[in-house]
Amino acid sequence: MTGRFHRGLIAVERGVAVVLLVATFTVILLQVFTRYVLGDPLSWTEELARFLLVWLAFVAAGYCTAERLHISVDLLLARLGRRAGAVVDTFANVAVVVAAGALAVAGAAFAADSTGLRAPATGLPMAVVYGAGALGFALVVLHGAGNAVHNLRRPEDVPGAMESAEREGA
Amino acid sequence: MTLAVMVVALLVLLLLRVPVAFALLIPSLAYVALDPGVGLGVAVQQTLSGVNSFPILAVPMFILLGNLANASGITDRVYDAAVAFLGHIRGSLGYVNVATSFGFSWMSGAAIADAAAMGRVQVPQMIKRGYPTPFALGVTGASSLIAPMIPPSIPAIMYAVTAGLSVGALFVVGIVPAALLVVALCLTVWWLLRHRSDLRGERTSWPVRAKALLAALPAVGAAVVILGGILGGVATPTEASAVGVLYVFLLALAYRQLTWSKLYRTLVQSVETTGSVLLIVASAALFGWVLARERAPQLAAETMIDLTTYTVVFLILVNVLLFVVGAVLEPTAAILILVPVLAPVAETFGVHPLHFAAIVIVNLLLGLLTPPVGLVLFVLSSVTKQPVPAVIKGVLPFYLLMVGVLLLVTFVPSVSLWLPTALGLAG
Amino acid sequence: VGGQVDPEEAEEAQAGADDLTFRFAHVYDPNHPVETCGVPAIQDALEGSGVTIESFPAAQLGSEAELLEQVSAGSLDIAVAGPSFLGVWYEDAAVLDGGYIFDDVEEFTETIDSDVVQDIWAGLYEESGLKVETSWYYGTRHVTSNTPVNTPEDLAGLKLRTPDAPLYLTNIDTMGGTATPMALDEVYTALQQGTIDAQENPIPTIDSFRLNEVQDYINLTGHSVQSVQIVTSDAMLDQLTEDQRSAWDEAMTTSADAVRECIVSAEEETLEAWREDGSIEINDDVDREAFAEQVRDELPGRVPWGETYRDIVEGS
Ligand code: NA
Ligand code: NA
Repeated sequence: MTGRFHRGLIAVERGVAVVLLVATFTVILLQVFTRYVLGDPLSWTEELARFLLVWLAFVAAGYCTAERLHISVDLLLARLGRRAGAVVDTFANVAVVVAAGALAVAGAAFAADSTGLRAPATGLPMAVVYGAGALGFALVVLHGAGNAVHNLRRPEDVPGAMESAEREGA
Repeated sequence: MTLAVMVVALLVLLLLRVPVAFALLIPSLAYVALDPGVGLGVAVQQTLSGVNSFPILAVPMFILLGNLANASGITDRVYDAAVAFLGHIRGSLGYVNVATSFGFSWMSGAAIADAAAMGRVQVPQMIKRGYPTPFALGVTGASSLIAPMIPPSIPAIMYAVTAGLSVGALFVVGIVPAALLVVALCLTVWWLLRHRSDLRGERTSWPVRAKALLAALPAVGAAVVILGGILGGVATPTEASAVGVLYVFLLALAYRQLTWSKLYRTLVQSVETTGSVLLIVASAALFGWVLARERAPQLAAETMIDLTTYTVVFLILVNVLLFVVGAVLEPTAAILILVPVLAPVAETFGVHPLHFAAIVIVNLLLGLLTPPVGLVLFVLSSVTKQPVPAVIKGVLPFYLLMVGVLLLVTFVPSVSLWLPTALGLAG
Repeated sequence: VGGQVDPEEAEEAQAGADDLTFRFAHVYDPNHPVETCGVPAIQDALEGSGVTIESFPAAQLGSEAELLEQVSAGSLDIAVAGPSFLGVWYEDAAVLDGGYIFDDVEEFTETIDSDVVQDIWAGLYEESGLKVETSWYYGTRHVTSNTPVNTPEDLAGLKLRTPDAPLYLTNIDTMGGTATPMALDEVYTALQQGTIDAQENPIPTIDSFRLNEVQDYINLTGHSVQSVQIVTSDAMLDQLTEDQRSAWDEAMTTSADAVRECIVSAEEETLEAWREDGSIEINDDVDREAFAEQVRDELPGRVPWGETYRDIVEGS
């Protein structure tokens, strides 16, 4: 995994997540407009907005792993030295990779199993919706592994309690 | 037994800095893997269904709304208006800080957004004008809790979705407690600065005040759009949230505050907060499914009834539990995990669901200011470049009366129930 | 804040320690007849058979759609789900939610175990492995409004709220109304504010959401006599001995009777209470034939299970 590919992927995830957020907003507004202004609501806006939210959640989950934005509790790490901190953080990333890996595989199987099912209002195959979980967790695996490798190479980069909180608050 | 192992695993993983979402997922996955009757498919189904929800859609919308409000300059106008009216009072910037948070709270659903915005702008200003640094940090941190108590409120949405209550009703429940919080904060500001008559600015003329008020007035529009839409039965909270975003976006355009790059930054910020919150929502859904399958709510009820049959004692015990959990877990995660277990128990004890919601939310919000893991403490520390202990020291004097507000909310049901009852929302 | 709870009341009935226990999950509140009448009826019928059920109410284990997925995957033993949700697995199953498929509860009771319906369950089983063991009466839907609704013409122009599911919209559409989907939680205020003019629900739901306070008429349209299905799979049934299996079948029959009695008497009692307190006028002058004729005419052409719908309507 080259650095350039990695940064590129992160930028794509960020862009896609932003597009999904704007799309979600637009679909809800469309619902408001058709229901209250036109008085003739569309039947599929609510369902589509929910599905966009699922995709937003899981694409952003991958992106947040890459940027180390997931909320965590810096109780122990704040009291450890750099090296011990890097070891603990690497363990945390490996744990994330294992869990996300299992969910990515199960998610793909779940999506494949649901090929016959269609969403009632939009008629979208449920596999498209469930696929978001598989993809999102696969991205988490990729970035979690990237973080772990990075920790081993450059332990001085492991973010401390204050740095990660700053990014959460940003 | 299974339940105890899962909770211990959760705590150990949290301690090892596994992100909250995965600290919830890992023991749940282990449970699913170890039960031969359960396929991993259920794990996927429950995580996905956690976010496949129309009310939850309001969460990213309100996050975006708060960030847009900051970027649009509306927050600065609220601040200017507060200075124009309160500038000449002793300790004025303390009250201004509370007032700005109160004004901003109608557009923001999270304490962290408030603490970050106010910490960046107001804390340096206050220190420059001679206010004690711990005071500046303390009042900013403490007043950031107004945002999630006044509608829109992300904890209220989470609670409503988890407990199956109306989002509109839960929005209204927080208003009186928030007003009490404002009073408590102002009293503390008055007490802390009672000897500092040097800390006051010039009295502003009425024309200047009128102009500042006029400039800040559009902020009221956001509250009207959101609350009016929901309480008037015109729109669902999710729909109102999107209209609110549109309103603030148009406001930002009118103020000529928005460049493309600023807009993109605001969107990215919102995606980042949304991503970290929603993955917790997804994970907590699976964790909650395991808890329900292992009959945690029933066990909690039986245990509680073995301990006490008195409602008052139950409320004290629950507050202690919430306080401990809130000191470690962020409110959203704590609500998603605890509410399905505790809300039915509260009902057994005859506590009104909306009253109980107020207790849980106010208590868990205090956790944002409680060491070891108070997110607001960390956020303030990082945006002001002040050490965390300094922030804690500053928050401490405010804490006392805030706990007083929690006690009022706990033992005087009408504090939380009066307004929803008056509006016909208490069911 | 004061008071004390009665620990006896709060204790739960404990199942026999050696019993084979099956998880039974549904989305209804703990005080809904599904939980208060249906679950005890099953438990009573199973008593002494060495089998029992443990109930998970209030969507604790998931939504109706999710519960069916869990039964299908073997993670859950028994689920309660309505015809529309079964229709996702096998189109014909949704037919039972079709408007005016039954005239009333009596006809529902006579028809629900008929060959046509049994054929649907057989088709569902073949397609998905989901096994419908019995159908419980859920309630009859009626339209509430602020002007009397007696004919399809009276419904025209009224903005009527329905649940957000395509079939409910189609039912109202074929009755001549304009359906607006909305979450149930929001209906009270929407009626109060006049955002919508009318809504339709079974009587117990109208009562528990106090919609009688904000509407003037309950028109006994009876446009949908609804049921929920008790769904399981071979994974559960294969664990039963022959004796246990007959106890289980007995439980299915008696529970259906118990739930129907509970709901019918709840419907009657609520109507009686309204008649007395006058909080809403009961309009019994509805021309149900006019509505039924129109729906039975139009609906089959707009749904994938039109043939089956005709078979059931004509057979009954
Ligand atoms: Na503030
Ligand atoms: Na707020």
